Amino acid sequence: MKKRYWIFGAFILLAIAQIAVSAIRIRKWEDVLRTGTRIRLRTVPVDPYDAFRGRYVALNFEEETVPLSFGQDLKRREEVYALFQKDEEGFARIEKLVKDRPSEGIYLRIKVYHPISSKNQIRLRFPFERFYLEEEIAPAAEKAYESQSKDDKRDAYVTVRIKNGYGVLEDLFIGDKPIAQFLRDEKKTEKKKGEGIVNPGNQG
Amino acid sequence: MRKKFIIWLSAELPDLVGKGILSPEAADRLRVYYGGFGKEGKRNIAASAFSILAAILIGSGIILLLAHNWYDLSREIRAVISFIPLVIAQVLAGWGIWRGKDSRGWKEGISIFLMLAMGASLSLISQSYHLYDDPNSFTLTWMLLSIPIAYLVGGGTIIPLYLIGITIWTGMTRSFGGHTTFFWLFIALTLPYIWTISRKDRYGGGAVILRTCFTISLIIGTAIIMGDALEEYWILIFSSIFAVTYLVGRIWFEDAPSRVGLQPLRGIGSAGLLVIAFYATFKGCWEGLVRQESLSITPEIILTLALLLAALFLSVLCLVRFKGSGSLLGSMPLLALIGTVLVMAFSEGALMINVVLFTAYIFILGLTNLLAGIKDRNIGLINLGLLIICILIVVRFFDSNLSFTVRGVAFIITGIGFLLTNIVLLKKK
Repeated sequence: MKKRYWIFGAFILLAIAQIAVSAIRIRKWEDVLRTGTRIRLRTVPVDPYDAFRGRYVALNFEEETVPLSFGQDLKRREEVYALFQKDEEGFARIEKLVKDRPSEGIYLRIKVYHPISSKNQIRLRFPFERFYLEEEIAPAAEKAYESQSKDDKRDAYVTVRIKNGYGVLEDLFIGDKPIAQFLRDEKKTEKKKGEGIVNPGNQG
Repeated sequence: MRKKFIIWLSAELPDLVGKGILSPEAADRLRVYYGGFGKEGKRNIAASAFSILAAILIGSGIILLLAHNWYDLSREIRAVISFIPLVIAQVLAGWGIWRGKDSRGWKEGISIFLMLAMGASLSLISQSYHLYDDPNSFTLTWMLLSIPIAYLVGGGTIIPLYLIGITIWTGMTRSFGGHTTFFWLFIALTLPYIWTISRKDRYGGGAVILRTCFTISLIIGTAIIMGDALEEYWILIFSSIFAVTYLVGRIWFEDAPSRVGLQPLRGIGSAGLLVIAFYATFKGCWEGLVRQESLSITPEIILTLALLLAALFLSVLCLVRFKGSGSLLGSMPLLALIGTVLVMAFSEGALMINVVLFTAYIFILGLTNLLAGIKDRNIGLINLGLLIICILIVVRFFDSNLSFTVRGVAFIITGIGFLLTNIVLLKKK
């Protein structure tokens, strides 16, 4: 009988821990989103056939490739801080990479994906690589894209909130429209054409 | 003990009835008397199985629904939703503990449901904030918050899921970067549970399944951890790991009922050893070592040596306790060590020696099994011995590294050897 109370007590602790872990995560990312500095990051122009895989948009960023001179001695998988500055168009550019946490400025903790000495480049990996979408939207978007020519790449960027080295994706913009609106507009033009997207299919 | 007897008896009964020693009615009465394998037992197993399935389906269904990623939901509502299944599962599980609900089916079902609800909560958060770099910490957090469920709520099905989870985590950590060695700590968290279950019912289905999962997970995880560090020494590492697995099964679980896959350690260990031994009879298998530069002392090297010593120690123990049976297979790491040292010392020149060495080893292994089988009139052993020798013949027949003449002569000599043995045996009769 007594043993059961002990187990119950321990279980209550576990239950609290389970809820706490989820709550702490929400708090942490919510805080970054609400109070973090907003930057705009240009993505590599979206290739319609590659971008939409099922329920998320796979993102690649221009700033994920920097010159080797940014860090000659960096190793694969090493963690570094990227310090950002705005360029004249208002997009964030990596100014330098440092190993210790900077005391000020807009910085993001990232991983070195691969230093490629032959190309004089360092490939970085930002902590956000996917923009999740609602199930039906992604395949619809893919279809909308397919009606365009393959070479018709579009400029895209994301807004990210950054705080204390952490970054959270806020929204994805394609041709200056937020993704949701872009897809809605695409759908409308499709309908106007009289084709409509009948069935998004079961991709994913 | 009783359960083991019941398992044995349940296997014997049809045979006894068939031979007319027991009447079918008497056999039925025995079945009813010993209960364990009667209708009652079946009903319990069915109840557990159905509740496990129900929990898995409902839990995964919730995860799928959340994965739809409802675009119109605000982040606040998502946050609330991420807690709902979790809290429901917690309340149910807590109520069960409080009321002292003891049914196997309930415990298994609610444990899995709670584990899946935890996963659903974490994955909805990852999705809401587009956390992709996260799968690593997501998996680990989920697993570490789930393993206590096995101990507190009492569902053993948590353990295999947890083992899969931490093995995946180790693989991801290797590619993302991080300390893979923590895997050994995480896998050790399952040991008290498996130990308790095994003590209660050594050869019960649950204990055997858990030990099998544990062994497989341990081997895969270790392979992931050591793979990077000691690529060229894999024959040594893996023959040691499989030998230890095999010998532990041979020595501490030697009283297992011989049939129905109740000997996972022995099965996995011997299968692994045989596959490695066959692979080691190819020249290409050793070529990586030729390029190897000198060894430096790393934790991985120390661990490999420890495993090697453990395997050798257990082989000796096996030799003493069981008069040699099993120690030939178990001592394969020694041969792997000799092969490795030879190649490192004489480089290219030793490759052929290793091929001959391992071919001879497998041949002797097959032959001893065959002879032991003949001696004990054990068809299983005879077949195993024949199978090993036959595979060896096929493998060598197609081995293009050896010239046709060498293969031809070796085959004929071996054939004549068998023929002579047969003649001698027949004459003795």
